Amino acid sequence: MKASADSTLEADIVVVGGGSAGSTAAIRAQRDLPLGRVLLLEKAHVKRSGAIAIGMDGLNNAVIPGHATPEQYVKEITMANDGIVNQRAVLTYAERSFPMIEKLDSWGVKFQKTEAGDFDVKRVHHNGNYVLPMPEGYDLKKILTKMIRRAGVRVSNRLMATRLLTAPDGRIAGVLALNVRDGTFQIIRAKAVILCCGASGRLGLPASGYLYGTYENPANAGDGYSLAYHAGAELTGIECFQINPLIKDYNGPACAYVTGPLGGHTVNARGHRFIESDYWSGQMMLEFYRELQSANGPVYLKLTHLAPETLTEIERVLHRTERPSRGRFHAGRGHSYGDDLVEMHISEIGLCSGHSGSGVWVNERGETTVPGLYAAGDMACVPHNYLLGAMTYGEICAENALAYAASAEPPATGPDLDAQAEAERRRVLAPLDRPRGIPHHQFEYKVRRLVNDYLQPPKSANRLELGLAAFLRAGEELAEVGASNPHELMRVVEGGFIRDCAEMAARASLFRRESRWGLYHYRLDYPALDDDAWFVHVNLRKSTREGASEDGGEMQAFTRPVAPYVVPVADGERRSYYAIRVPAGRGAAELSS
Amino acid sequence: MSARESDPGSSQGDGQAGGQGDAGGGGGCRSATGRALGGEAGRELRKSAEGAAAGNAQTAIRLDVPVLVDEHRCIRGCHICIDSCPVDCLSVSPVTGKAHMQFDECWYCLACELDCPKDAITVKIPFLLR
Repeated sequence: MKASADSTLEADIVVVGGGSAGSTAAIRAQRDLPLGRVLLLEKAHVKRSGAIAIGMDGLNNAVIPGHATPEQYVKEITMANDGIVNQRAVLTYAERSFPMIEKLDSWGVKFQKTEAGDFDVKRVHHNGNYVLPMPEGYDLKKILTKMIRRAGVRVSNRLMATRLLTAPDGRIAGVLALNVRDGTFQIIRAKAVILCCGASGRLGLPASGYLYGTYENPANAGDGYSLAYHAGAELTGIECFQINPLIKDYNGPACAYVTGPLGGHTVNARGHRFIESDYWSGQMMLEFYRELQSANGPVYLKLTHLAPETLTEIERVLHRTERPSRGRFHAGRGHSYGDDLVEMHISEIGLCSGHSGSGVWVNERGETTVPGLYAAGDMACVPHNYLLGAMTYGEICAENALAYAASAEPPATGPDLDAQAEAERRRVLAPLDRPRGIPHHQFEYKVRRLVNDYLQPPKSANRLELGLAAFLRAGEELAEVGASNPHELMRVVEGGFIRDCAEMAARASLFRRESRWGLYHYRLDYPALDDDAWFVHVNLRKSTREGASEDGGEMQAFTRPVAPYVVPVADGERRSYYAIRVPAGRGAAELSS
Repeated sequence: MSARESDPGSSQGDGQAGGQGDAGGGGGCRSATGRALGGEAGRELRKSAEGAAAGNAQTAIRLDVPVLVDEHRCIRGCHICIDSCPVDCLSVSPVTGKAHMQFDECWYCLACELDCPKDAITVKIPFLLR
């Protein structure tokens, strides 16, 4: 099939991605603009897209008066991310967290409340109380979709952004996109663009070898990381990988947020607890990894000690909202929570600010380093931001994009932009000229298998360099990948996003010559945390000079200082996340490493 | 449920094994280089260049696919499940006019099954995971 002619759209603000961040961004932007001037692009369909395509069973980071203060939360996240945070961005989230909850409450999202009508906040973090269950969270995506319709937002489903348009002066000028159903190529001119494309979730290969068995929705292939990079934006903390404790062979999370408050916990094969807190930090993942690798491994989720009515409640939540096929998985193995320990494992690696701290560099206004370009949600670096952070920063981005668009000139046009669009159209459609080229799934399998081989922590320079060479070679191989329909074309473009993210992950990991964030950036050749040399952000950007790196690549790594804290953290508190291993003699085995 | 023939690509595939493709790359110089070098090393270079330039054959493989559609319940003309799928792996079968799993890319999220108004869809955990 040959693609049909280009078409051109225009809007004041284009939101790329209709998940949790993109929905609230589009709804907020539409409030202040005439109908049609906000365009929401979604590569899937907004009714079932993004990280919570089905639903979510709770908020991990609710900052609710009476339960926590914004300052406490900023402190908690500063410690959880080993000090490398832009506190202002975290504080802005924390201050707007509760108003966002009230808004969602008014939209009909059902949060767990006490008999007195107060929000029923649970403790999962080390120090504070931030977890708010949503036992009926399977409605969340439907509610967001309803609010998009009610606001009158113009939505284009099955339209995938492939590159951003930039004006000669560097500001954003629009989006270039592929219709993944009919193969048409679209130019969308815009004053401002808000990227809400989710995590880079198809980076590592799940241990099963199944390409789509990822923790993240596989539609979140790192599109936003690549789009921002090629537009000249900075990315940060890419070496701080996302790794999650999951049920072995199944992409469901297990413990902390749902079962933890109800009495579930992780144990080793001897049935002993080995960590004090199941909050997902890098340090927790390192202890989890060590236990898995030790003679006491593997690791299990233990629910067998709970009362039958508690198990029924856990199943009601876990088997209905975030991962509705989970009950089917357990039933297929003949396992039940009451009789069996649930074997756990660690996930494939990914990039995600929602869970760790790897994303596009943004400030407390959601601005990237490219004028007119904003980013929110899992792809934008406000560490440990999760679902509520995505929705909050969606609004923040919309407000600032509105102000920018109001004073901006009309979207840039001219021969330079036409040339960009034409070059991109050729790049995107080229695989159709090679219907017998390398199949996209073989290309993707190979890149992601090499990600596992060379990037999966523990890391070392030798392996990272081999990985980097492999990903540079994959850039050449991509030119051999073919497609015979628009769907395959989408997968080929995603293959490019995945390759870009793999190169970023290798370069950032090589650059930071210390260990930090527990397992997320555990370097065997630099095993110690080194605050004297590395208490800095590591950022990446596309070099504007030819041959900026020795190996001919164009990706540049550099440091940015950590901005002075607005919420002081005492030295004694800084390391509190390290003291999570249950001491020997209290039922835990000694560490072998 | 028994496995069935999967059809990713089969509607485009022509089944010609070993057909000459148009993948391009080094066509003109490959044999010249090989002859100039001669001997075993030259042969390896030539074989390598020929391999890189050859087209890829379409092969049909049987897969156990996770999404099963009850064609008696599925309504012709309804696109609800196809819209729901976040990875766009479903489509209308040109043979039956009913929904089917076209691409082996299911995330087993159950969106299609939950949204189907006729309860026509069953999603299995993919074989590699179950």
